[in-house]
Amino acid sequence: MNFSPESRRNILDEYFALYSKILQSSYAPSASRSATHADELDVFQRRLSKLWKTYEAGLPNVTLSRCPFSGVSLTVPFDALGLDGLWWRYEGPIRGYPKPPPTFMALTGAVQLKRPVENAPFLIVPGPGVPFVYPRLLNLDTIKSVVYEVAIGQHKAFVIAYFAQSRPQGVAMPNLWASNNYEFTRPNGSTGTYETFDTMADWDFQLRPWIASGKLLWIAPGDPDMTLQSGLENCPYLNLTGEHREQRIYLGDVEVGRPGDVETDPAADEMTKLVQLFDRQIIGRTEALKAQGLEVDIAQDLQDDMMLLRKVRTDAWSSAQVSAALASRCKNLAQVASQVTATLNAIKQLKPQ
Amino acid sequence: MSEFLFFELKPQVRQQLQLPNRPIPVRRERQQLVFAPDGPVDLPAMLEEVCLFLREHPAREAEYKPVVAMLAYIAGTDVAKRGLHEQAIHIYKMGLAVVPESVSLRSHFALALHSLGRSTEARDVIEALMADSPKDTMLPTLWMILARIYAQEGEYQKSYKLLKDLSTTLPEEDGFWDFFGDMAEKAGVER
Repeated sequence: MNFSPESRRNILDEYFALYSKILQSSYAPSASRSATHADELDVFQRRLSKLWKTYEAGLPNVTLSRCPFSGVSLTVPFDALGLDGLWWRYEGPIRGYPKPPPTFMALTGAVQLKRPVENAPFLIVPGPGVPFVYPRLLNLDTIKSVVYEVAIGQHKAFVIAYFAQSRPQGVAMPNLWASNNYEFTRPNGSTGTYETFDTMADWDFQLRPWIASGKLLWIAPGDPDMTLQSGLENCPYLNLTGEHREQRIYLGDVEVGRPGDVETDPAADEMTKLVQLFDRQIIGRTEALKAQGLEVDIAQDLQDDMMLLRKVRTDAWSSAQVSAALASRCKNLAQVASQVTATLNAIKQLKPQ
Repeated sequence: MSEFLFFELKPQVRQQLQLPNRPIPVRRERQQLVFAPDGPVDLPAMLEEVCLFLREHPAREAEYKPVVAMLAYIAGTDVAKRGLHEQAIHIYKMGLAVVPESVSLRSHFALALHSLGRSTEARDVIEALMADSPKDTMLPTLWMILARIYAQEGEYQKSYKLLKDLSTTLPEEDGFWDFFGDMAEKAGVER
């Protein structure tokens, strides 16, 4: 029986609490360890096993894609209620793994995160923020992929599944979405796993050429029939802005890129500096002037623009996302900067009576 | 007891140095040093002479306090301007030994300490000065220095509070508002 949002929450809450207790017990000073301690740990472990089995049994089957060759839908146990589900655990995810359609090759994905993100005591690696493809797979004549949008709790996710009529020889499939390995079923029904080490350099976010070539198909978000589409017109997956780096979530914190990577986004830096200039020079002076009884009005549209620019820091938006949001307000960064300068100059002229 | 001679400064020198009209006691053997025949008056040397005179004649302290305060101020700021902060500190200390209540000397003493990176001493001097000052008194330069010292020490709340009070004077320097904003952020102040 599928879990409800409430029963899922209860399972996860108890799981997390037990997990924390086990961790604490495991790290307890050796002097305090005893037979009772070991027994207690056993009880915790048994309960934890029971909980993950309950979770696994409660995972609903969700259709995530459709095979362009056979037309068969890819329906798998999936936790769409939030990234804190054990399905999303990077190491040792709990998914059930039913036998997929024979043409299924790989399942990858991306998640546009909405802050604050879920707080779970394990690593979650949901991919970048916008859909991408693996050219090394699509360059093979036999493989096609399909992109489809699904909601995961508050987030918008993009499933990118790969299909082929027959498994290409000697080609390693990417690790399954949000996990650190690839699980496959042998012709005799047994399962095996392996790990691939693709990096962000193996991703291509330019979907247009792949759709134009017929290698990438798409399904409209919310389409109950999951109809495969191949046209560029009306494709909702083109020109999406968002995080292009791998996102990692742990205890509610999001990290991007690889540890040690120094990724620069000069436009984002410029936006952050502009926000700082606004907050420090304009808001600082305005508050001081107001404290002395002077009426100071800062244009509402400028305040709204600054709210967007602030998202670089508060919501980890990329400069491209902010620029797109500004463009939807018929503005660009240079215009906002110019308005900030003009406002600051005007405020500098104000003196209390 | 030393033998002091009393020198009346020329009116234009006295006016230039803004010194009160009071004869300056200088030991006979130091006369040439203080009043070099071909050079300017050696103010630090003159201050030393006056201070020595007061140590030997403490009853005349009240009479000479304004002279010491002004001499220490002029001599101290003069050497400080040339970057000789150690010497400035020595001069201010001489002055403060006679006029401990001088806000001007205490302020410049703190500035010199700060210039030499002696932050803890500078902080103590400024905090004591603030404690002795009337509630509404604002000494912007010193407060800025104290705010910077607090920031160095990680006392962001204290620094922010000082700057918040200073902001009412609407400083024109962009640097002030940057610093103020930085402290607001570090102190976790919602703006």
